[in-house]
Amino acid sequence: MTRRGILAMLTALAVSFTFWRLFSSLLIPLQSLQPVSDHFLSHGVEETGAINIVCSVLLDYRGFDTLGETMVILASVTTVSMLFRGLSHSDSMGLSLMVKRSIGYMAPLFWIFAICIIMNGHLSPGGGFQGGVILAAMTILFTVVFGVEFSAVKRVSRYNQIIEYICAFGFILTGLWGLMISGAFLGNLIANFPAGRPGTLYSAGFMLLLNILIGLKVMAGLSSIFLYLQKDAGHVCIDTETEDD
Amino acid sequence: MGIEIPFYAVLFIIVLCALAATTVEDTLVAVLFLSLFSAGTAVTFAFLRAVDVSMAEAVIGTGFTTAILVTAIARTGCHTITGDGLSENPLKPIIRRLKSLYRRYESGGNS
Repeated sequence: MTRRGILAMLTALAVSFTFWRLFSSLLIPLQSLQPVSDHFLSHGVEETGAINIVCSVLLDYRGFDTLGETMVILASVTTVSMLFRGLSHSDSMGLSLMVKRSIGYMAPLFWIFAICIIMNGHLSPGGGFQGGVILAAMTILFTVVFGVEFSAVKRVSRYNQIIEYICAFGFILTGLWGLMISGAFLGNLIANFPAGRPGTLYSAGFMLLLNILIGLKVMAGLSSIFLYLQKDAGHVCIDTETEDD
Repeated sequence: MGIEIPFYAVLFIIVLCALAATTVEDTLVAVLFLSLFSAGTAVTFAFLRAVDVSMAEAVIGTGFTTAILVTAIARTGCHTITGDGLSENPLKPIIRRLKSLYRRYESGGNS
Protein backbone atom coordinates (compact mmCIF):
# COMPACT_ATOMS: atom_id res chain seq x y z
CA MET A 1 0.00 0.00 0.00
CA THR A 2 2.72 2.45 0.86
CA ARG A 3 4.65 1.33 -2.23
CA ARG A 4 1.69 2.42 -4.32
CA GLY A 5 1.65 5.78 -2.58
CA ILE A 6 5.35 6.32 -3.13
CA LEU A 7 4.90 5.33 -6.77
CA ALA A 8 2.06 7.83 -7.17
CA MET A 9 4.10 10.61 -5.60
CA LEU A 10 7.08 9.82 -7.83
CA THR A 11 4.83 9.80 -10.90
CA ALA A 12 3.32 13.14 -9.94
CA LEU A 13 6.80 14.60 -9.42
CA ALA A 14 8.00 13.28 -12.78
CA VAL A 15 4.96 14.63 -14.61
CA SER A 16 5.24 18.05 -13.00
CA PHE A 17 8.98 18.16 -13.72
CA THR A 18 8.29 17.31 -17.37
CA PHE A 19 5.65 20.02 -17.63
CA TRP A 20 7.98 22.52 -15.99
CA ARG A 21 10.72 21.69 -18.45
CA LEU A 22 8.27 21.99 -21.35
CA PHE A 23 6.93 25.35 -20.30
CA SER A 24 10.29 26.79 -19.34
CA SER A 25 11.56 25.88 -22.79
CA LEU A 26 8.45 27.43 -24.31
CA LEU A 27 9.06 30.72 -22.52
CA ILE A 28 11.97 31.69 -24.76
CA PRO A 29 10.07 31.61 -28.08
CA LEU A 30 7.25 33.53 -26.40
CA GLN A 31 9.64 36.46 -26.03
CA SER A 32 9.95 36.60 -29.82
CA LEU A 33 6.18 37.04 -30.10
CA GLN A 34 6.44 40.37 -28.25
CA PRO A 35 6.37 42.51 -31.46
CA VAL A 36 3.05 40.91 -32.49
CA SER A 37 1.30 41.73 -29.23
CA ASP A 38 2.88 45.18 -29.24
CA HIS A 39 1.43 45.71 -32.70
CA PHE A 40 -2.02 44.56 -31.52
CA LEU A 41 -1.90 46.90 -28.53
CA SER A 42 -0.63 49.95 -30.38
CA HIS A 43 -2.39 49.66 -33.76
CA GLY A 44 -5.46 47.62 -32.76
CA VAL A 45 -7.88 50.51 -32.38
CA GLU A 46 -7.02 52.24 -35.65
CA GLU A 47 -6.87 49.03 -37.67
CA THR A 48 -10.05 47.40 -36.39
CA GLY A 49 -12.03 50.14 -34.67
CA ALA A 50 -12.74 48.04 -31.56
CA ILE A 51 -11.56 49.38 -28.23
CA ASN A 52 -11.62 45.87 -26.74
CA ILE A 53 -8.34 44.49 -28.03
CA VAL A 54 -9.30 40.90 -27.16
CA CYS A 55 -12.35 41.17 -29.38
CA SER A 56 -10.35 42.71 -32.21
CA VAL A 57 -7.89 39.80 -32.01
CA LEU A 58 -10.68 37.20 -31.82
CA LEU A 59 -12.85 38.52 -34.62
CA ASP A 60 -10.51 40.47 -36.87
CA TYR A 61 -6.87 39.44 -36.71
CA ARG A 62 -7.62 35.81 -35.89
CA GLY A 63 -11.19 35.55 -37.14
CA PHE A 64 -10.49 32.30 -38.93
CA ASP A 65 -9.73 30.59 -35.58
CA THR A 66 -13.08 31.76 -34.24
CA LEU A 67 -14.78 30.25 -37.28
CA GLY A 68 -13.02 26.96 -36.44
CA GLU A 69 -14.21 27.12 -32.82
CA THR A 70 -17.81 27.66 -33.84
CA MET A 71 -17.51 24.78 -36.30
CA VAL A 72 -16.37 22.55 -33.40
CA ILE A 73 -19.63 23.36 -31.56
CA LEU A 74 -21.58 22.69 -34.76
CA ALA A 75 -19.90 19.28 -35.13
CA SER A 76 -20.62 18.31 -31.51
CA VAL A 77 -24.27 19.37 -31.83
CA THR A 78 -24.58 17.29 -34.99
CA THR A 79 -23.07 14.27 -33.25
CA VAL A 80 -25.32 14.56 -30.20
CA SER A 81 -28.42 14.98 -32.37
CA MET A 82 -27.39 11.90 -34.33
CA LEU A 83 -27.05 9.87 -31.11
CA PHE A 84 -30.36 10.98 -29.59
CA ARG A 85 -32.35 10.99 -32.83
CA GLY A 86 -35.98 9.95 -32.71
CA LEU A 87 -36.38 9.94 -28.95
CA SER A 88 -39.11 11.84 -27.16
CA HIS A 89 -38.87 14.07 -24.13
CA SER A 90 -40.00 12.66 -20.84
CA ASP A 91 -42.63 14.52 -18.85
CA SER A 92 -41.56 16.68 -15.96
CA MET A 93 -43.65 19.16 -14.06
CA GLY A 94 -40.88 21.46 -12.93
CA LEU A 95 -40.67 23.10 -9.55
CA SER A 96 -43.34 24.74 -7.42
CA LEU A 97 -45.46 27.73 -8.42
CA MET A 98 -43.51 30.13 -6.23
CA VAL A 99 -40.21 29.30 -7.93
CA LYS A 100 -41.85 29.54 -11.34
CA ARG A 101 -43.24 33.01 -10.69
CA SER A 102 -40.05 34.40 -9.16
CA ILE A 103 -37.93 33.04 -12.02
CA GLY A 104 -40.47 34.53 -14.41
CA TYR A 105 -39.86 37.95 -12.89
CA MET A 106 -36.09 37.55 -12.89
CA ALA A 107 -35.66 36.05 -16.35
CA PRO A 108 -35.88 39.34 -18.34
CA LEU A 109 -33.02 40.77 -16.27
CA PHE A 110 -30.87 37.74 -17.08
CA TRP A 111 -31.70 38.11 -20.76
CA ILE A 112 -30.85 41.82 -20.71
CA PHE A 113 -27.50 40.99 -19.08
CA ALA A 114 -26.67 38.39 -21.74
CA ILE A 115 -27.75 40.68 -24.59
CA CYS A 116 -25.64 43.52 -23.12
CA ILE A 117 -22.60 41.23 -23.04
CA ILE A 118 -23.19 40.22 -26.66
CA MET A 119 -23.88 43.70 -28.03
CA ASN A 120 -21.01 45.38 -26.16
CA GLY A 121 -18.49 42.72 -27.10
CA HIS A 122 -16.26 45.16 -28.99
CA LEU A 123 -16.51 47.80 -26.24
CA SER A 124 -16.16 45.92 -22.96
CA PRO A 125 -15.11 42.47 -21.73
CA GLY A 126 -17.30 39.68 -22.97
CA GLY A 127 -18.51 38.94 -26.44
CA GLY A 128 -20.63 36.58 -28.42
CA PHE A 129 -19.36 33.39 -26.86
CA GLN A 130 -19.82 34.39 -23.22
CA GLY A 131 -23.23 35.94 -23.77
CA GLY A 132 -24.33 32.95 -25.81
CA VAL A 133 -23.39 30.58 -23.02
CA ILE A 134 -25.35 32.72 -20.56
CA LEU A 135 -28.37 32.41 -22.88
CA ALA A 136 -27.83 28.64 -22.97
CA ALA A 137 -27.67 28.64 -19.17
CA MET A 138 -31.04 30.41 -19.24
CA THR A 139 -32.37 27.45 -21.21
CA ILE A 140 -30.98 25.13 -18.53
CA LEU A 141 -32.67 27.24 -15.83
CA PHE A 142 -35.98 27.10 -17.71
CA THR A 143 -35.65 23.35 -18.11
CA VAL A 144 -35.06 22.88 -14.40
CA VAL A 145 -37.77 25.28 -13.24
CA PHE A 146 -40.54 24.92 -15.83
CA GLY A 147 -39.94 21.36 -16.99
CA VAL A 148 -38.55 19.87 -20.18
CA GLU A 149 -41.83 20.14 -22.08
CA PHE A 150 -42.06 23.92 -21.71
CA SER A 151 -38.41 24.56 -22.50
CA ALA A 152 -38.14 22.28 -25.51
CA VAL A 153 -41.51 22.77 -27.15
CA LYS A 154 -42.95 26.15 -26.23
CA ARG A 155 -39.86 28.34 -26.29
CA VAL A 156 -37.42 29.45 -28.98
CA SER A 157 -35.50 26.25 -28.28
CA ARG A 158 -37.56 24.36 -30.84
CA TYR A 159 -35.88 26.39 -33.59
CA ASN A 160 -32.40 25.66 -32.24
CA GLN A 161 -31.12 23.71 -35.22
CA ILE A 162 -32.31 26.33 -37.74
CA ILE A 163 -30.75 29.18 -35.74
CA GLU A 164 -27.51 27.20 -35.48
CA TYR A 165 -27.20 26.59 -39.21
CA ILE A 166 -28.33 30.07 -40.25
CA CYS A 167 -25.75 31.70 -37.95
CA ALA A 168 -22.92 29.45 -39.17
CA PHE A 169 -23.92 30.28 -42.73
CA GLY A 170 -24.03 33.99 -41.93
CA PHE A 171 -20.54 33.87 -40.44
CA ILE A 172 -19.17 32.25 -43.59
CA LEU A 173 -21.09 34.69 -45.81
CA THR A 174 -19.58 37.65 -43.93
CA GLY A 175 -16.13 36.18 -44.51
CA LEU A 176 -16.87 35.58 -48.18
CA TRP A 177 -18.07 39.17 -48.56
CA GLY A 178 -14.71 40.34 -47.28
CA LEU A 179 -13.01 37.93 -49.67
CA MET A 180 -15.02 39.32 -52.58
CA ILE A 181 -14.39 43.00 -51.82
CA SER A 182 -10.86 43.05 -50.49
CA GLY A 183 -9.33 39.68 -51.35
CA ALA A 184 -8.92 38.65 -47.70
CA PHE A 185 -11.25 36.19 -45.97
CA LEU A 186 -13.00 37.97 -43.05
CA GLY A 187 -11.48 41.28 -44.09
CA ASN A 188 -13.01 43.94 -41.88
CA LEU A 189 -12.12 47.56 -42.54
CA ILE A 190 -10.28 46.84 -45.77
CA ALA A 191 -13.54 45.39 -47.11
CA ASN A 192 -15.27 48.77 -46.65
CA PHE A 193 -17.25 47.81 -43.56
CA PRO A 194 -18.06 51.09 -41.75
CA ALA A 195 -15.43 51.85 -39.13
CA GLY A 196 -17.48 54.32 -37.12
CA ARG A 197 -16.10 56.23 -34.17
CA PRO A 198 -14.19 53.95 -31.75
CA GLY A 199 -16.08 53.54 -28.50
CA THR A 200 -19.58 53.79 -29.92
CA LEU A 201 -21.98 50.91 -30.47
CA TYR A 202 -21.98 51.09 -34.28
CA SER A 203 -18.26 50.85 -34.80
CA ALA A 204 -15.58 48.33 -35.65
CA GLY A 205 -17.04 47.14 -38.93
CA PHE A 206 -18.72 43.76 -38.80
CA MET A 207 -17.85 42.99 -35.18
CA LEU A 208 -21.33 43.76 -33.84
CA LEU A 209 -22.85 41.52 -36.51
CA LEU A 210 -20.37 38.71 -35.84
CA ASN A 211 -20.90 38.96 -32.07
CA ILE A 212 -24.66 38.61 -32.51
CA LEU A 213 -24.20 35.69 -34.91
CA ILE A 214 -21.77 33.88 -32.60
CA GLY A 215 -23.96 34.55 -29.56
CA LEU A 216 -27.08 33.13 -31.22
CA LYS A 217 -25.12 30.20 -32.57
CA VAL A 218 -23.54 29.27 -29.24
CA MET A 219 -26.91 29.71 -27.50
CA ALA A 220 -28.66 27.44 -29.98
CA GLY A 221 -25.89 24.84 -30.03
CA LEU A 222 -25.33 24.44 -26.29
CA SER A 223 -29.00 24.57 -25.35
CA SER A 224 -29.85 21.98 -27.99
CA ILE A 225 -27.07 19.73 -26.64
CA PHE A 226 -28.58 20.08 -23.14
CA LEU A 227 -32.12 19.46 -24.38
CA TYR A 228 -31.00 16.41 -26.35
CA LEU A 229 -29.46 15.02 -23.17
CA GLN A 230 -32.82 15.38 -21.44
CA LYS A 231 -34.51 13.08 -23.95
CA ASP A 232 -35.89 9.81 -22.73
CA ALA A 233 -33.33 7.13 -23.52
CA GLY A 234 -35.44 4.29 -22.15
CA HIS A 235 -35.95 2.77 -25.57
CA VAL A 236 -32.24 2.56 -26.30
CA CYS A 237 -31.22 0.85 -23.06
CA ILE A 238 -30.33 -2.76 -23.78
CA ASP A 239 -32.02 -4.82 -21.09
CA THR A 240 -31.67 -8.56 -20.83
CA GLU A 241 -35.44 -9.05 -20.93
CA THR A 242 -36.09 -7.05 -24.06
CA GLU A 243 -33.18 -8.57 -25.92
CA ASP A 244 -34.98 -11.92 -26.18
CA ASP A 245 -37.85 -10.77 -28.41
CA MET B 1 1.62 43.94 -2.91
CA GLY B 2 -1.66 43.45 -1.14
CA ILE B 3 -3.25 41.58 -4.02
CA GLU B 4 -0.76 38.74 -3.92
CA ILE B 5 -1.97 37.12 -0.71
CA PRO B 6 -5.58 36.49 -1.86
CA PHE B 7 -4.22 35.42 -5.26
CA TYR B 8 -2.06 32.71 -3.70
CA ALA B 9 -4.94 31.74 -1.40
CA VAL B 10 -7.17 31.20 -4.45
CA LEU B 11 -4.43 29.14 -6.12
CA PHE B 12 -4.16 26.99 -2.98
CA ILE B 13 -7.95 26.51 -2.92
CA ILE B 14 -7.85 25.45 -6.58
CA VAL B 15 -5.28 22.74 -5.82
CA LEU B 16 -7.31 21.55 -2.82
CA CYS B 17 -10.48 21.40 -4.93
CA ALA B 18 -8.73 19.41 -7.66
CA LEU B 19 -7.40 16.92 -5.09
CA ALA B 20 -10.82 16.63 -3.46
CA ALA B 21 -12.53 16.09 -6.84
CA THR B 22 -10.25 13.13 -7.53
CA THR B 23 -10.48 11.55 -4.08
CA VAL B 24 -14.16 11.90 -3.18
CA GLU B 25 -16.26 8.73 -3.63
CA ASP B 26 -19.59 10.35 -4.50
CA THR B 27 -19.49 11.57 -8.09
CA LEU B 28 -22.04 14.32 -7.40
CA VAL B 29 -19.73 15.81 -4.76
CA ALA B 30 -16.83 15.44 -7.19
CA VAL B 31 -18.76 17.42 -9.81
CA LEU B 32 -19.45 20.14 -7.25
CA PHE B 33 -15.75 20.29 -6.37
CA LEU B 34 -14.98 20.55 -10.08
CA SER B 35 -17.41 23.46 -10.29
CA LEU B 36 -15.67 25.13 -7.35
CA PHE B 37 -12.35 24.52 -9.13
CA SER B 38 -13.69 26.34 -12.20
CA ALA B 39 -14.89 29.24 -10.05
CA GLY B 40 -11.41 29.53 -8.52
CA THR B 41 -9.86 29.44 -11.99
CA ALA B 42 -12.19 32.24 -13.09
CA VAL B 43 -11.12 34.33 -10.09
CA THR B 44 -7.48 33.63 -10.97
CA PHE B 45 -8.02 34.84 -14.54
CA ALA B 46 -9.70 37.97 -13.20
CA PHE B 47 -6.67 38.55 -10.95
CA LEU B 48 -4.42 38.21 -14.00
CA ARG B 49 -6.54 40.84 -15.83
CA ALA B 50 -7.86 38.44 -18.46
CA VAL B 51 -11.49 39.35 -17.90
CA ASP B 52 -12.79 37.83 -21.15
CA VAL B 53 -11.24 34.45 -20.36
CA SER B 54 -12.50 34.77 -16.79
CA MET B 55 -16.09 35.27 -17.97
CA ALA B 56 -15.87 32.35 -20.38
CA GLU B 57 -14.42 30.11 -17.68
CA ALA B 58 -17.02 31.15 -15.14
CA VAL B 59 -19.94 30.55 -17.47
CA ILE B 60 -18.68 27.36 -19.13
CA GLY B 61 -16.89 25.69 -16.22
CA THR B 62 -19.17 26.66 -13.38
CA GLY B 63 -22.47 26.70 -15.20
CA PHE B 64 -22.68 24.60 -18.30
CA THR B 65 -20.25 21.77 -17.51
CA THR B 66 -21.81 21.25 -14.09
CA ALA B 67 -25.27 21.04 -15.65
CA ILE B 68 -24.10 18.53 -18.27
CA LEU B 69 -22.29 16.35 -15.71
CA VAL B 70 -25.19 16.41 -13.23
CA THR B 71 -27.49 15.42 -16.09
CA ALA B 72 -25.15 12.55 -16.96
CA ILE B 73 -25.12 11.36 -13.33
CA ALA B 74 -28.91 11.60 -13.11
CA ARG B 75 -29.43 9.72 -16.36
CA THR B 76 -26.93 6.92 -15.68
CA GLY B 77 -27.53 6.59 -11.91
CA CYS B 78 -23.81 6.25 -11.19
CA HIS B 79 -23.74 8.12 -7.90
CA THR B 80 -20.77 6.27 -6.47
CA ILE B 81 -17.75 4.71 -8.06
CA THR B 82 -17.90 1.00 -7.28
CA GLY B 83 -15.78 -1.95 -8.26
CA ASP B 84 -13.62 -2.43 -11.35
CA GLY B 85 -10.64 -0.89 -9.60
CA LEU B 86 -12.01 2.60 -10.20
CA SER B 87 -12.23 3.34 -6.49
CA GLU B 88 -8.56 2.59 -5.99
CA ASN B 89 -7.35 6.12 -6.29
CA PRO B 90 -3.57 6.36 -6.23
CA LEU B 91 -3.80 9.38 -3.94
CA LYS B 92 -5.90 7.56 -1.35
CA PRO B 93 -2.97 5.86 0.49
CA ILE B 94 -1.28 9.24 0.87
CA ILE B 95 -4.42 10.80 2.29
CA ARG B 96 -4.91 7.86 4.65
CA ARG B 97 -1.30 8.14 5.77
CA LEU B 98 -1.70 11.87 6.42
CA LYS B 99 -4.91 11.22 8.35
CA SER B 100 -3.26 8.61 10.55
CA LEU B 101 -0.31 10.92 11.14
CA TYR B 102 -2.64 13.73 12.12
CA ARG B 103 -4.60 11.40 14.41
CA ARG B 104 -1.41 10.22 16.10
CA TYR B 105 -0.29 13.84 16.48
CA GLU B 106 -3.63 14.79 17.96
CA SER B 107 -3.73 11.92 20.44
CA GLY B 108 -0.13 12.64 21.42
CA GLY B 109 -1.02 16.25 22.10
CA ASN B 110 -3.93 15.23 24.29
CA SER B 111 -2.15 12.69 26.46
